[in-house]
Amino acid sequence: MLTERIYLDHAATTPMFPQVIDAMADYMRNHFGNPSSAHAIGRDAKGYLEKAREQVASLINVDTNDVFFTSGGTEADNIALFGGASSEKSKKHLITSAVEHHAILESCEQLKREGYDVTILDVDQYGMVQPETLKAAIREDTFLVSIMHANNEVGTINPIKELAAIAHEAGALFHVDAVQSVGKIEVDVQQLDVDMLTCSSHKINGPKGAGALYKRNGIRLGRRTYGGGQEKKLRSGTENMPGIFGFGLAAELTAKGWREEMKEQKRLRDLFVSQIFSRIDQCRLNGHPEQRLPHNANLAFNYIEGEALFLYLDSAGICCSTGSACSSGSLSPSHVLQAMGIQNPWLDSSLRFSLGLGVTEQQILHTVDVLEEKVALLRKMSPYTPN
Amino acid sequence: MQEIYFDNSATTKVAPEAIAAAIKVMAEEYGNPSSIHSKGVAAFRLLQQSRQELAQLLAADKKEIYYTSCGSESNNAAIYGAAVRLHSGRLIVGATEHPSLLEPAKDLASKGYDLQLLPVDGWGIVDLAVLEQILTKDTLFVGVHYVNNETGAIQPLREIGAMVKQLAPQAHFHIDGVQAFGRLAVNLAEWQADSFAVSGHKIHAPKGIGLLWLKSGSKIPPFIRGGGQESGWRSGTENLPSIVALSAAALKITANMGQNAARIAAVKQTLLTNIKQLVEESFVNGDISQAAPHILNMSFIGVKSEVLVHYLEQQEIYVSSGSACSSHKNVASHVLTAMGLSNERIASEIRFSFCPDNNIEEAIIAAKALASAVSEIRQMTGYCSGGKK
Repeated sequence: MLTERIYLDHAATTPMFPQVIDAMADYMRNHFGNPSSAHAIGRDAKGYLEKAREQVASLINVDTNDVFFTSGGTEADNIALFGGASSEKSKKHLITSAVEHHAILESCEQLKREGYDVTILDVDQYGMVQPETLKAAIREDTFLVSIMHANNEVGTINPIKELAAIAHEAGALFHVDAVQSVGKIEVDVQQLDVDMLTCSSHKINGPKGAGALYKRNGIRLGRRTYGGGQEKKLRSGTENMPGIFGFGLAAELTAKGWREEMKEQKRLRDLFVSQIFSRIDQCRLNGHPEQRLPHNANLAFNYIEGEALFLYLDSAGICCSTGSACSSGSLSPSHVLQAMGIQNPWLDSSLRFSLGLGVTEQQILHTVDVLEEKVALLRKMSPYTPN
Repeated sequence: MQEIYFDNSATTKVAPEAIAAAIKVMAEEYGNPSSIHSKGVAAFRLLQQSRQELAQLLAADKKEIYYTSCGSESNNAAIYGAAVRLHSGRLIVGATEHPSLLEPAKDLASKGYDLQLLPVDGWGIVDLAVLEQILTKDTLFVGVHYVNNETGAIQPLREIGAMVKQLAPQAHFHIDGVQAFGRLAVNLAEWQADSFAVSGHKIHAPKGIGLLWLKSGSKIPPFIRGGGQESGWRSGTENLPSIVALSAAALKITANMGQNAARIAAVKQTLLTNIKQLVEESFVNGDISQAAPHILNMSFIGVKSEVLVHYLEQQEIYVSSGSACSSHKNVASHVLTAMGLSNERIASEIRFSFCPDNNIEEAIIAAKALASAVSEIRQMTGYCSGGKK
């Protein structure tokens, strides 16, 4: 039947902007310098490195000198947490939330083993961190609060400005993992008033293997990777020049186009959700109804197994997700939905649909058709379906 | 004028095969290898196929290949991972190692580990007699490179490995193979190695990709934590286009290794012979008869390295003063210093490093250009051959 694949998993990773692929191919053919080399070929690469830094800085509205390139969002999160911890001598407490990405949660687990005291904040039924929850948990010896801007599974947007203000009042630094929000909603570091921010290239139609940590000037982070002293000694290792070049270009294209693109994706997402609600009964939308990413729909279909539905969709050429891709092939129930207090039958019947570049209305309507058919089929087979 | 690039130890041009492989993945297989839908599975298959190819080149199991973002990360992960198994103990690192091993070692020393720098002789080869003395039972880690990045010195890995396993059986033996992989034969079993670092951009793959071969059973905890990619050892969405490009580049360079070495040796010999004829007081640093084929390190007495580098680049001839990593810092090479060379040799160090794309004609042109640059600089600075200014 349909030969064209419908990719609705843009929160896991995105197809690249075709212009970025072309530009990277051209870059690799014509520029290969090591930015640390003193000669002209090295300086040529260094020029592109700094251009990319400007492009990323401009996307999140920060000073160019405060952007540090990494191999991805995970490494940037690791540097923020481990670096923040090792530069802090007296304070031993850090705070995060129960719905963070594993890059944060696993780093916190390790910091706990190293003797740090970690508080993991509860979230409300929408997956949001309430400012009062942070207020109650913050202490004099809290050195860092790390809370994601928008959740990767349910798309709920946290009140970062308020949360950061609470952290600052208590004398703690605030780090935000903005991997999912950059390019989807306004991410303006000056407005959010955060001290550190993580973003990733492959979530904004750039190449995999590049990410960045914004670090406010003056904040000292313990080093993680030692060596040639690249990235002002914060992150040694020859810079991933085709990747960073592509990331910069993707950041520029995102800065120019995201408002329009997301307006369209929101229209399609709203169409998708309203069509499903009108054609399939016993459905729920997980996450906040309004404070959510414009391209995300996390839906639960009562009486059926999400995985079974996922596989039916996949064989019909529709890619979505049973949770986040980042748990590396794992099929364990989502820690995010669990933290939101979602229980069965809604927990195991949830699927994430995330829209993005190239998704069309026709694809969305086709997906609704397939969903209606497969949900009906599965419910017919399910022992949980009432007669 | 045609560009002559003799700085292939700093970084290499990306091979057309590697570019094609990366671009194909970018355009067609954009899935996340961790996604369980068909687009993710297709990406995962490519990832595993690349891993298998690399494993075969290293005569290793594919489960022992862990992708990282670069050689520096591989070295950092190995030494920190080996050290944190215990809170104290001895670390032995070669005195001429790359900063991505030396600097973590110094950081660990500042945290209470007992760091011993393994000295080298005048040719840059580690001193096995000293190694024998300092290998204690509480040694946690021994890290040396296969080939030095500045001089091309080749370390006696088989002897080092045997000594480590005999005198400090619990120590983790790490080899930094960044400058050697694809140029010299690798024999991890014979060396009794526990880990081996590889970098993509030194073998005509893109920057931003490396790997650590980690012998199965090694208890090295992860360096970057998160979603649990790479069997839980290295988190972060895999850089699949570059991983596939790394395989393409590695397969190409290893398939032609013998041919490449002969070609490069001829270029190197031509350059050296011509320089020796044209430039007085030029010296080779290290033992050229024993060194890796792709590196030639020389000193031109009385000529500051940086000045000569910039003179040559005016004529589109690219060489380096020591390693790229330290080229923006005005510090004397720790490698030549450890070899006990004189200050005037160190201050005038130039590294030429070659790849199979270089040819003999380039060597002849470069030698001539270098000779006139050296003589011009020596004239300007008032340096007289055989004496001081």
